[in-house]
Amino acid sequence: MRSRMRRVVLLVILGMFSSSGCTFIGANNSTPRFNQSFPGVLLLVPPVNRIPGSSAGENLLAWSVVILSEAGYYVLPPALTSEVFARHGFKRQEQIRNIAPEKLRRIFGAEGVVYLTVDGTGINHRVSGIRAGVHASGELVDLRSGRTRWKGRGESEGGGRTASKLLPEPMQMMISGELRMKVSESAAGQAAMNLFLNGDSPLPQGPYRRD
Amino acid sequence: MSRLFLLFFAVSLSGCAQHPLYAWGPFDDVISRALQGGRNVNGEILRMEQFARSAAMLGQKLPPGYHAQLGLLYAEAGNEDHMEAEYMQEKSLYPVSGIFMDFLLSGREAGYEK
Repeated sequence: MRSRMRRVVLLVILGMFSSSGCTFIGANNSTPRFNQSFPGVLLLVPPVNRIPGSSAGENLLAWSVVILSEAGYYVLPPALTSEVFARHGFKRQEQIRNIAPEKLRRIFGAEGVVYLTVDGTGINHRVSGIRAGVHASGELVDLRSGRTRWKGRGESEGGGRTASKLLPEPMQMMISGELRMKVSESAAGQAAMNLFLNGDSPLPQGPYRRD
Repeated sequence: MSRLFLLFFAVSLSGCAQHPLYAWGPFDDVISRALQGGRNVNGEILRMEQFARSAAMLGQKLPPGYHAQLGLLYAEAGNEDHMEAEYMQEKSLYPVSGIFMDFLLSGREAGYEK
């Protein structure tokens, strides 16, 4: 009798979740809503890569394009923007930080610049076979004011996090389940998702989501 | 029973965003390779074009920067006409890219050398 009651209760809860889905979850969390003053057109600068001999920086950048675009931002194509920088001798992030915001707006039409740094656990996964954790940090500077509008950190799963998360973070639910699965196959992808959409300071939803 | 519960739970949550906004295909891989340099340009053009066709057939939208990236590949393959067409397509799909696409198309940026 008792186990049947439990089953009924569980089925009722299932029903609640199935029908309301993310509305139910969203109600319990302060999901940042679209902020019209927030930069919507983003320029991504090649990350500072502190994992020598790895392509973690390039992978993080590629996955950042995916995550930010799905979150509703227009992301300027990084291979093209990087090539423009390189042609003019700007190879390092610090150099790009010194460029006048007005110039970046004028050339790229960018509203915000994202500066990324990638770090790792230091394990050479090619030797040991253990997948190295990717730690990413990022900063978004508003080119209209020159001020930092957002800062965040994110890690790949198993990159030092103790609690294994069953539920995606509320902002991560903007990313469809099937894409989340693909993202989670890559350490850089996980780090990018956690960086931009996780925990304490997720980015607000971008202006180009067709919801 | 608890496994079933978790399955339903996961399914209902994944229903929050049913489908991705965009069809990504090989794009994330192409971006990463492009940033690392030294790659098979014609092979990548083929990949990107094939996926673009299948996305069109399925009525899916290609992501921001997809056409621009394809344009860059064409530039590197020495095909300026296709490069221009792709940059203009990017601008048409995503008007906010217009400033940058115009910059690339104008003579101001000494074109991509073959």
